[in-house]
Amino acid sequence: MPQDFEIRQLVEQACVEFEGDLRVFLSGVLRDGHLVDDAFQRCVMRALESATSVRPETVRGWLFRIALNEARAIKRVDRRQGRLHHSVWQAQGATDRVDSADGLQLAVSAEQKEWIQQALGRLCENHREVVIRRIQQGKTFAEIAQEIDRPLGTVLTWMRRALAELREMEELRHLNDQSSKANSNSSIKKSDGLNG
Amino acid sequence: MHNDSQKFSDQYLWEAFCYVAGELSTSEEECFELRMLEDGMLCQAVQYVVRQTTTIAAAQGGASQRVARVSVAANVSAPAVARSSKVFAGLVAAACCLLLAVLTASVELSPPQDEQLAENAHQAELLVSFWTNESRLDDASDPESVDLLNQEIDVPEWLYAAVALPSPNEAGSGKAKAEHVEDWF
Repeated sequence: MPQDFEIRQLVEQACVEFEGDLRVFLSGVLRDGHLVDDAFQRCVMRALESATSVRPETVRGWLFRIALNEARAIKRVDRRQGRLHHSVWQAQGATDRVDSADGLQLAVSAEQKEWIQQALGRLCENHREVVIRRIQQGKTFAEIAQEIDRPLGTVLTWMRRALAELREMEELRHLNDQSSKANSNSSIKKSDGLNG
Repeated sequence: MHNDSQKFSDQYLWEAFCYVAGELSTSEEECFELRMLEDGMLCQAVQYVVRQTTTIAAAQGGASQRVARVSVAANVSAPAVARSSKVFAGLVAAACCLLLAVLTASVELSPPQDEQLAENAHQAELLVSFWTNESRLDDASDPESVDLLNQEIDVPEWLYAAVALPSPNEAGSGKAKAEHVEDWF
C-alpha cells in the first residue's frame, strides 16, 4: 500500500539521518565499537520490519528505543561472556581515523584539542584534576580520592560540578555542534547515495 | 542541528556520565536502561556524555585512547619504562661499586712503590747491621737482636752482587766470582 511505502521510506530516511546519533548512543550503551555495528544493523532491520507501527512525529525516539533494546540483548550475551568494557573511552581502540564505524570522532584536530585544553583550563584546579585523572588517565574515583587525599564523596562532587561547568563552556558547544554537523552531513551523503 | 546539551538537567547529565563511565552496578544499569526506554531526554544525555568524554579522552596527547585503555586495563607502558630506567640505574650503580671494590682491593694488595722501596731499604739496613755487629747477636737479651735472629730477611739481589764483587786485593779470585756473577745476570 502507498501509505506503508511512504512510512517505510520515512523510516529508511530516519535511519540514515540519525545514524551518527544512534551509533554514538549505542557506543555509550555497549562500550565496544564492534558491537555497535552489529547493534545498528539489527536496529535498522527491526525498524524496517515494524515500520508500519510508527508515527512520523515520533520516529526519532522510536528508533532510539529499538536501538536500546537491541543493544541490551547484545549486552546480556556479552555480560555472560565477560567481554564488556568498563567505560566507553576505555573501549576505543587506537586509530587515526576521524570517524570510526560507531560515529565517534576519535581523532581530535589541533584546533579541537586547543578548545578542550582551554575549557579544561577554565575549570578550577580541583575539578580539572579529577576530570583529567578520570577520563584521560582512566583512574577510578577511589584511586583518585586516594591520590589527592580527599574523601570519595568530594571527588564525585567535583566531577559532577566539572561536567556541568564544561557543558556551559563555549568551546565544548562548538565541539558538539561540529560533531552533530559531521554526522548530519554524513547522513545526507548516504541519503543521496540511496536516492541517486 | 539543535544543541542537545541544553535540553536535559544536570542530574541527567551526571546519571548519564555514571552509566557511560561504567560506575553503575549491573542492576543499576538495568534500571537506567529501562528508564531510557521511557525517557528520550535520558538517551540524549547519554549521547552528549559519550561525545564529550571521548573527545576529552582523545585530546590527551596523540594516543589518548591507548593511554586511557592501558592505564585502566594493564598499566603496562609507563611503569615498564620506569622499571627499565630503574634497572639501568641499578646496573650502573652496581658497576661503580664493583669498580670501586676492585680498585680498593688492588690498592690493598699492592702497596705503593714508595712503601715497597722503604721496606727494601729497611731490610738492607738490617742485613748490613747483621754483618757488621756480630757481637750483638750473642746478646739474646737484646730485643733487636732477637728480632733480627727470628726475622726472615729477604736479601735483595744487589746485595749478593755487591758481596760477590772482588776487592782490589783479590783480583784473581774476583774474576772468577765476577764471571759467576755475570751468570746471574
